[in-house]
Amino acid sequence: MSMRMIGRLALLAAAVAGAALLSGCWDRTEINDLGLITGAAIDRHDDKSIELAVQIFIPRASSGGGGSMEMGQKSSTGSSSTFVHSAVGENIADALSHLQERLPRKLFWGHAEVIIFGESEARHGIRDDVDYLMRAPQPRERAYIYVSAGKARRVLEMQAVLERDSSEALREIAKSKLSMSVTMTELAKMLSDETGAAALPWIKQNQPRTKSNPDTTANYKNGTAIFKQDRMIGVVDEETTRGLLWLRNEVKSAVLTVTPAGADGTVSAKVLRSTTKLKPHIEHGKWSMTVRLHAETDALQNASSANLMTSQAAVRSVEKAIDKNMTDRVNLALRAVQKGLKADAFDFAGEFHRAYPKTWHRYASQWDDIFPEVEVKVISNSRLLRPGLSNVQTSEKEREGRQ
Amino acid sequence: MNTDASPQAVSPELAVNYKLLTGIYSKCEDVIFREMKLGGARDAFVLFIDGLVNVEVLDQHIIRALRESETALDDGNALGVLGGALSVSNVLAVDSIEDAILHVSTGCVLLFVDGLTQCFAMGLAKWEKRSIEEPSAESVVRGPREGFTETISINRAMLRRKIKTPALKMLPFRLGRQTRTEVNLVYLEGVASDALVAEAQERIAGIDIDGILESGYVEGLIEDSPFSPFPQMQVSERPDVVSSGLLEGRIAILVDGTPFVLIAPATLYSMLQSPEDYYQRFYIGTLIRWLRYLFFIMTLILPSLYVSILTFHQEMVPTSLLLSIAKSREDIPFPALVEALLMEISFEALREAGVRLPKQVGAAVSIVGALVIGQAATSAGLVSAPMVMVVAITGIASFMIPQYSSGIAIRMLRFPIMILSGVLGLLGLMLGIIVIVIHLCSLRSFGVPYLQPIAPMRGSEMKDVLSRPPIWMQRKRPSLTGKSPNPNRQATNLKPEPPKGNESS
Repeated sequence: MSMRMIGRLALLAAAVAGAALLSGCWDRTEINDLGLITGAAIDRHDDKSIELAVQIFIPRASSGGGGSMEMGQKSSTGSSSTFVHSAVGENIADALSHLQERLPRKLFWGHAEVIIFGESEARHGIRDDVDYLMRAPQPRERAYIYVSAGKARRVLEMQAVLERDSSEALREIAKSKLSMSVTMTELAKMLSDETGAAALPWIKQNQPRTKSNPDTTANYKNGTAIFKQDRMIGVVDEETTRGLLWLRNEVKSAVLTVTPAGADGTVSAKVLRSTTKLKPHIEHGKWSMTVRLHAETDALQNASSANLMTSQAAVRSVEKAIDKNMTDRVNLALRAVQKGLKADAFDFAGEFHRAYPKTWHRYASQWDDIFPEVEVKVISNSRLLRPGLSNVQTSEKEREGRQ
Repeated sequence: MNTDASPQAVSPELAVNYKLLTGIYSKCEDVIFREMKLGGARDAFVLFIDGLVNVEVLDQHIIRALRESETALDDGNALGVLGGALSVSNVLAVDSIEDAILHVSTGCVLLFVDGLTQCFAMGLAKWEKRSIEEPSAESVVRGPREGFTETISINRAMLRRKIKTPALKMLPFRLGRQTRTEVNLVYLEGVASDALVAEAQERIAGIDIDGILESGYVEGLIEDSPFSPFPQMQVSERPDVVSSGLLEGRIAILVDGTPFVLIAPATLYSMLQSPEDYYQRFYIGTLIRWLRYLFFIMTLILPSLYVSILTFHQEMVPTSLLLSIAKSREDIPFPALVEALLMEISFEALREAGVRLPKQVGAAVSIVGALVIGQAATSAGLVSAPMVMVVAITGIASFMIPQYSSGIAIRMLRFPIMILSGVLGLLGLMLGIIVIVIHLCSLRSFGVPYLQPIAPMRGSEMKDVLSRPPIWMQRKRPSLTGKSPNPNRQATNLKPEPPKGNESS
């Protein structure tokens, strides 16, 4: 009797175990079956279609010992652990499905670190592309976005020497925050807020300086692409980008080189901390904005005769020069972006909206006309916190002076 | 099970007794009967088992003395007379044959005298035993180096040496119809709750089995949830661990013939504590405790986590790590789950073989095992290098659990979790963990919830789980079943301080 019970229980247990296995490794994919996308580039192919290029990781190419044959074949272009493959389609999803048809491995977006838009696609409008990238579950919201001059595919095909591949190089540069860096979430936010203006980092490849330096990633120009609605309307250069970063309160570290008044050389200061505060005013129908820049700096190099150690006056004059430098940069950015391109890439709109919600609702539709006319007052205030303890430079110059 | 003779009194006729006993002990080469004349006149014989008795003392002090002793013995004065004549401290009068047999088996010498309705058991037990050694499975850097032995009397003495109060009680039991194993229930009166002692007594008394060879038999017969993979009693071969358990109000069960003593009630956290936590400074005690918790969880889930993330959730791995794993996995023909099972099973086999191996071949096998598992498996392209790492860390982690039996439970449970996570990914892993946690919540050891004091929460007792508080802060005993009769174990204000006063004077 009890044997029968045990038999029944065993049968039940087997049925339950079988039921558990029926689901059968749902969604299981081995890494060996994945094509890991490390970066993607989107270019306009023609009016109706786009070209999607993806950089795919080759798992065995760069393994130290093995695969010497492959190494031999590719030695002319340096050892590459990735390759770029592309397909044309009506939109990203369509292009991707065409791409997938021709690849033996399942494409996996989970590790796409950078997404690059070609200039043509950027000028055509990127809203549809961003829709896919935000909607699809696999692409990361933290991927960094770039806009490239010419074809974006060329950027993916760059050879990186220091980093694993070009997208890793671009990601590391974006992470350092020395220039503009925008993630997909930030881009989606910028596109969906009231002004629809956006700023994305812009890269332009140069011709290699020397034949012996194959690292084409190190050889490009930085800048910022300015978008209005979802279309690129212009590019500002590296210098202006700095001013833009100050205005957006995104300066993490910077080195400012200035010539203090009355000194015969330059002083370089490293920015330790900096904050930018925007204060909007609306008075008698006149819209104005006060930009307060505050920076704490550290003297990095003193090539002037000013003795920063002993003279408070010298320190003051350096601070004043830094203030002027910052103000100039910000004004440069304002001239180029506010007056030139008339795109609100600094989110002045948001500031006005927060400070004057009622007035804003009345004038929101006219913002495009108001924005170029907003009067901006820049007030910089920097402090040189650490002038240094030794002063080789000045003592040398003083001695020269005595002789 | 038929050795139990019907209760039988000692017969006044010596020949009847002699015949009965030789009948019982027929074909027993080791039982020795020696006939003699008491005081040269009265018939008597002694009975003992060779090898259990100190024959030298028997010859020198008993047989000689008996030959010369008085012959005028009757039931009333015999014990006194013999006590005076014999230089043996432990003499008992026994009046039934069953008791007599029990005494003979434990190393007593029996003396039967013609005309008396009782016989005399003289404690002359002496047999070869292992000396006290350091317990090999529970070694410490700082702490006593003695461990229990197979002999219960020595074990009792070791406990008594640590806890000298007469409140240390030892209740005797004899378990096993054939083995007649001596089992002691040890507790501290006034500290252990009476209900707990009564319950333990009842459970032990209910055991009816033909043999108890190790404390594991007792554990298997008195635990609360016999089908659970988790041990519900702590096992130790260290007198200091047992003593600290007794001082916390727990009971200990000593079984003759094994150095392993059971401590109950036990909780999961007591299984994760090492005696050394309390002997070292409390900072390191706390840190090591947390390290142990971490590795306890790692033993359970690390291989499963690796398998599930690698086959279902590749986006969770940092990019560079995933790329290097992808590189090393490229030539592996098996799915990650098969790879993990392969490695874990061969690791378990190696471990088991290592325990059973004769010492001489042990080293050779472990070298071969390490090579096979590590180097050769990777270069043969059967297993990827990260998987070897995972298995190695899991293997080390499983040995960080001080209680060997809970280590086994965890090691065993990681296989079903591995399969679950290979089938369902992180979802399966979480399902497995949930099942285990629910099971742990439902477990009790002698009425004490297995996860106490975390679940159910006992605020003040949690400090001994989350940290190892300094000795002067451990004022209360942990509360077990019922109300503790004596909750405070030390005075207040024990925190040491330098004396206050004028330093210059």
